[in-house]
Amino acid sequence: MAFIEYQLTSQVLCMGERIKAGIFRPCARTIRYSQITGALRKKLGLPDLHAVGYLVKDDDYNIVDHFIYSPRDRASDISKVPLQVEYLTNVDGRVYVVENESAKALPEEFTITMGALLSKGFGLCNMKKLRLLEDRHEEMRIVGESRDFELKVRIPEKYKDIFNIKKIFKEVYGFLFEPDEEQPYTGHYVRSLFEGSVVIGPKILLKERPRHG
Amino acid sequence: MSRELVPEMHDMLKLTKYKHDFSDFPTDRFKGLIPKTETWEGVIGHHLKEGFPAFPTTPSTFLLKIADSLASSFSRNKLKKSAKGVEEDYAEEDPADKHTVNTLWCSKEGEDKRLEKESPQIRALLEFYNSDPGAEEFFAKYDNILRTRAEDAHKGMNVTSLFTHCRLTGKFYRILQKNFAVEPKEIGTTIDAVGRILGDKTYSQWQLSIANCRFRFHQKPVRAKDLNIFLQLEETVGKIRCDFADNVLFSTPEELIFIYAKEEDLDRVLKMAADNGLWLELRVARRLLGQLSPDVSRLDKIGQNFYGVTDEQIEPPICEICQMRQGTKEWKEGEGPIEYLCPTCYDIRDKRAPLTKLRYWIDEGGEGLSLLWVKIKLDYDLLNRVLNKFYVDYLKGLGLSTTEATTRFSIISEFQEGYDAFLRDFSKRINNGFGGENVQRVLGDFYCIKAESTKDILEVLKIYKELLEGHFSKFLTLSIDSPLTLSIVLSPSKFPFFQCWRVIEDSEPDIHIALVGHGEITIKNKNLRELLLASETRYRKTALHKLAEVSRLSEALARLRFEDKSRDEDSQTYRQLRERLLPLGMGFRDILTFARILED
Repeated sequence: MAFIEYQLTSQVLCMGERIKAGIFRPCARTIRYSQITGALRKKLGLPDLHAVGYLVKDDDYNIVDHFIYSPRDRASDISKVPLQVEYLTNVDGRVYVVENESAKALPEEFTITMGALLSKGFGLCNMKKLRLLEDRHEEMRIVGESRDFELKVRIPEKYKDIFNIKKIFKEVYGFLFEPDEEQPYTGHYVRSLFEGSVVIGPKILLKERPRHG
Repeated sequence: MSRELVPEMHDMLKLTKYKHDFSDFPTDRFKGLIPKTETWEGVIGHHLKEGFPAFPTTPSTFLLKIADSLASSFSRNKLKKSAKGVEEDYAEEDPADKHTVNTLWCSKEGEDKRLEKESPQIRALLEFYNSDPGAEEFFAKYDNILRTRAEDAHKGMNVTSLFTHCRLTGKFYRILQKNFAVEPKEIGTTIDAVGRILGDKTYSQWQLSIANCRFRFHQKPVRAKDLNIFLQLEETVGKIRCDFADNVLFSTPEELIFIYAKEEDLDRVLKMAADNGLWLELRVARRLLGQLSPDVSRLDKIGQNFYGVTDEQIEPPICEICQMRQGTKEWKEGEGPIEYLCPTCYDIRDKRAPLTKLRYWIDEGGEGLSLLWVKIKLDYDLLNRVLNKFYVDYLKGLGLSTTEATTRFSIISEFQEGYDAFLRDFSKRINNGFGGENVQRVLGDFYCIKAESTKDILEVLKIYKELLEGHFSKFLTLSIDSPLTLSIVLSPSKFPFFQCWRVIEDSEPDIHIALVGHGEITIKNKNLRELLLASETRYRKTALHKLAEVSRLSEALARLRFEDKSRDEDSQTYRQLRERLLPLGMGFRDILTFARILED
């Protein structure tokens, strides 16, 4: 199998999670399968794309910030309770698209919009192809037999085979939203493997489990 | 009729200056006072060694002998003298023997309070045993001796107290009694025969399981009422400690070390967690008695997560608090939006909120109100490693070396006593320092303080440093990560709690300070003193203020200004900060955060 590795950059990005108590919207600290796959499929009209990603660890990138705005009720055009929104600036991430016929059609460089507050100028992302990772590459080596590796991405459990996750030793569960293919504004939540799940899989999607210093 | 054997009382002579094997005890003088109780049978007959007045011949004394061994600092292995390479039997006396406890994590040795030979208290002790008391009476009467007397006085072995050893012996005894049968006729009538049974039956066949249970929750508390999840956590762990008092060998507000024989015991614990909306990080191992170790991470490398029942798919809406179940119940407060919660999170939010001070502060507090969240975390895996290191260092310091030096249950239990005392003192000092009306207890190791200024962070650090010096002084000099982590998060009162909790959960050892929206500092315990000294230096307030203000516009510009080597007064301030803080391993961002703390 192969992944097409893209660098994702953005000036401001709000990968919003669910609004809490109507007053706060946190931002995910990872590029979720549902979000990036949905954005790619929408941009290119290709329904069988699968992608995951993560944000690079660098103090100068992916900086969390907040702002407050008052969303308006669409019906009455009256401001609702102010909403504090978390977002990321100077975003730098990596996205891995499973190579298939649809994925081969992806350009070397393109833009997508992703996340929340698009009308406010958030979410414009540049995607730049870095390389094609194939089985011969060290990064694609299957690791984790010794239970020393954990996921650094989030993958719906039912798609683990697509991403070549061979075995799960310890699950860290959560739920990701999966839009309905025919009615994308609806959907359901699917059980997913979150960061920290101890698995056997491609090294590029994993990181070594922390050891004590 | 005698009560059943009280295992906690088996080491009677260790309360005195007589030898443990009765070899110098004037039995004839006290003939009329020698008890005729089952407990006394345990006192004289729990060792399998020539020279003792008796050896195990009944099921009770047989189990006591095994429990005594499981609860000891050592597996009665031999220590080797590093100089001569000669093996020494541990039972031989040495002038260097110490009857007082050497506390490994602070090198404190207590006073020798053992009862003097020939004193009237020896008679009183025998009369007490004659009255056939229970364990709690025993601990109440002889607490001061039990806590200072080492379980084993031999050189290098005086690292746990008799108090800890006795408590632990009682637990192991009752676990064995409940789960393992031994017939009187199996036990044998000679020391060799009993030894064979121990080797062939108990240590070769009997197994126990050990579980390290870390209690977690999925909930992301938003409203003050959602913090009831901590109440839920405390009640659940508390109930398990109560229902399984003998099985819990170590505990913190969020973690248990649990010994059991039957799977249904662990199943009950898992069910209690799941019923209360909690999930578990579990490590479990089953071993022969002689192979059990408190360092569960060595026995089960990665463990497993227990979630209870989870659906593969959830139809919207998903619960807004835990995001693990469907949000079937609606919650609406006043004119606010409708929130969809699962039944578990709904019930948690609907409980009587015990965090009344916190609710009042949030409801009544103005825009300027800030809260200081203070959490102490104990990393159990790291604790085992650090205690082992202290223990090996102690042995080497005495000229002893051993390849079999490992942390056993007694050392972990001894630490538990010290840790509980540390947390109690922390609570007292925090309440005294800030005033009880300004401190909200969330858990025994987690507090919320109504902050007056950013400098309150320094007050918490001072208290923490003094308590470390008093309780765990060796943690202040560790070159590796400390098993104790202190997290301090200062945030506006309206800032969602779960974001603060995220910072706390992700905190790196040893000390992590976060000013929400204004930076973070991470330092080692060994640099805490220097950090506090640096905070006491008088800096030009305007210089600190300028640095903070410039950094809000441009961090790069602030860094340039900070590193500028001009001779103006502001630069002198920055030079002072560089000289004091860079050697502590702090980077520019840490120093900027420090400046913001002092700026207030």
